[in-house]
Amino acid sequence: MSNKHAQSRRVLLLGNEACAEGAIAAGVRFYAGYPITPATEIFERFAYRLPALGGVCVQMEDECGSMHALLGAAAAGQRVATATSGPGFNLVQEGIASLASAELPAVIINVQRIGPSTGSIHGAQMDVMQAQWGFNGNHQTIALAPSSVSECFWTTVRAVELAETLRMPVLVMSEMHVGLMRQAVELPDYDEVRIEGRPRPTCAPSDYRTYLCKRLEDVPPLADIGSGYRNVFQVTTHGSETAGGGGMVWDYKEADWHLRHLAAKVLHRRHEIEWVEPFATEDAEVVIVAYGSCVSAALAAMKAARQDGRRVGVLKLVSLWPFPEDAVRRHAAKAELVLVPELNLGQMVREVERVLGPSGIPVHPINRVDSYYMWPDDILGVLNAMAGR
Amino acid sequence: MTSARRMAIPMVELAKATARLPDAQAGETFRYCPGCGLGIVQSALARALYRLEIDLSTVVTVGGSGCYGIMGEYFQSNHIHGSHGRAPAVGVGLKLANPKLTVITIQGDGDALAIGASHFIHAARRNVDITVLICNNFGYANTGGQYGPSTPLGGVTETSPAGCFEYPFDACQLAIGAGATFVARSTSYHAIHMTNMLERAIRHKGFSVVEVLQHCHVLYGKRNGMPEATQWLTLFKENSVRAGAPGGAEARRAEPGKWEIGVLHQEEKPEFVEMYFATAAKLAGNR
Ligand SMILES: Cc1ncc(C[n+]2csc(CCOP(=O)(O)OP(=O)(O)O)c2C)c(N)n1
Ligand code: SF4
Ligand SMILES: [Mg+2]
Repeated sequence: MSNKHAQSRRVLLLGNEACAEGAIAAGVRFYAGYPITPATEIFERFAYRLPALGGVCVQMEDECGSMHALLGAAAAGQRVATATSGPGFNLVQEGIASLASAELPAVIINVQRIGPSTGSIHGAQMDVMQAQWGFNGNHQTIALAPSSVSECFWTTVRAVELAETLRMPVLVMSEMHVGLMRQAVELPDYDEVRIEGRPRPTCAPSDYRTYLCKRLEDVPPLADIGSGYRNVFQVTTHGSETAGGGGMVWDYKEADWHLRHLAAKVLHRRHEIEWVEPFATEDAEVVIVAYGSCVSAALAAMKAARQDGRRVGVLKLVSLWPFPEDAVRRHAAKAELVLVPELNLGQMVREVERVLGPSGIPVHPINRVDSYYMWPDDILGVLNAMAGR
Repeated sequence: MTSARRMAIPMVELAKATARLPDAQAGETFRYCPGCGLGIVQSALARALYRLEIDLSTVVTVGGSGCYGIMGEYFQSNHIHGSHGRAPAVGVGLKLANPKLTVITIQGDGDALAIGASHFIHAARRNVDITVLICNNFGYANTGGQYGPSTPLGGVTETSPAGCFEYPFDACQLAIGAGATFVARSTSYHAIHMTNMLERAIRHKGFSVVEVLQHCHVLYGKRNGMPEATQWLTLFKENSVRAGAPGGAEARRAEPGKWEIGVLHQEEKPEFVEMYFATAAKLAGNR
């Protein structure tokens, strides 16, 4: 991914609009969606931008339809995306599972709102566990969480690249608080946004198999349907060699390969996927691990605490899945306390606890579920109480 | 139109030209029960593709969950074994992404009329240029024989042991009502007729449906006093009324237990993908 600002321009954008622009800059030319607040601006931006670029933006009968239209378009060679929220995120799970199992790339943007069910349209970070565990079967998802309008752009660019290169659905876990925030951002010249595409076959069509690869962690080269290479995409459990070659014998070895492969291709690259940003963690006694809209509150709390002479640092997580466990271990190594503010009743904190548990560093959650932003005082209050002040 | 040679091709030649058959030496077999109507559907589809002389690398079949889900793998064309009922939505994506593809969804009555009914009727409404082949075996076979939205009143299944008490859908009428521009019905007895219907459906520009009444003697048949495939073939032969046939077809098809086969509806109407790009061009021109 190159980030040269040859002809960059400064524009005022909503986070949602920036997600759409990031996807377009990364070559997405196919969007299928179903309207839902607070994600609709993404759809509307695509509807206005894609036709003029020769692309496709289509409204489907429901989110299930959107996801399967993406599956078809991805199989025919397009870079594809959709966006949704809350109840729609439930309905896209089947499609995400299908894309994951069939190993087809797509970007799914979830502008999170309060749940369960229709819930309310207000801000939340309540679907971050669903991002990893929302659909059936064993699998490893990739999810990125933007905390600013500029990050809405760049997480979506990166999501497209990860989806294409790893042949899988990738999630951008935005939030109402981020998606509906308006900020001035520096947009690059889109011609300068160069991302890696899907791995392509170098073999003759007769030797091509849809899932053929040597090692578990390899990403099988992908030819487009209609390009002369015969594809058999399967959402069903399949092997590497037999699939696509008239492979009609199902055996246990194939199941074992399929499931381990889906996890291995992601986990083998976990350090390339890892995306975190530390702020003054080197000497920090207290590390605030934050993502999404809680990052700005964490940074404000850090600033106030530092002025007070307390050594507080922040570790911003942009990649949530696979959980950046090495980064958390590294940046919290010297901490006496780790705080995890979230707009839910404690979801990613479980991962932080899992990772830091053996080191004995206390991990403390800070939670809001009343639709408001996390406030610096919410964090400072806990900090003071924990420090006995 | 179709050359005589292409009509009369022997099965072995047909298989060479279109099929990717199971490798018996590797222990592979067809996944249908012996005598299942799906074998007849598969060879009719092979014959239709052969007659159409399309480059098979531009053909995609999309299957869901059901006994027919594997059918597309037996062809040299591309196949997407997708999830239950979503094939028409996959078809919309394929066609918009590459309008040159020939897309055929291979679906079941449960797949197209229950879990995937919404995708089916909306694809019909859009008049997207795909062909939907519905293998209607009057219920859910793959899960062991339960009733579904096309099970006749009184039909005995594992979940309707005292007989089905729900009214069934007529798949063809549903498709016509939803906006499909080519709608035909055939049966697993009428192998040549079925081939003709499929050929015309695939050739048709717009949303086309071929409903095939397909026997499942093993499950639905056994539960309803017709455990032999031949009993079904006889039933289909004796009770099918040709659409538009002279001599009181109108009255005969109204008889209980009769159904019409043939082209039930055909019209020319602008197609979805063409309409999309025509409209998009307007927007592109304005900016
Ligand atoms: C979402 C989902 N629900 C249920 C099933 C289980 N299932 C597999 S096949 C099938 C029945 C399919 O019926 P039909 O489409 O008529 O095909 P048939 O087996 O009769 O050929 C069902 C319910 C599934 N695969 N996916
Ligand atoms: S269960 Fe019925 S429909 Fe399925 S393969 Fe057997 S005979 Fe055919
Ligand atoms: Mg059925």
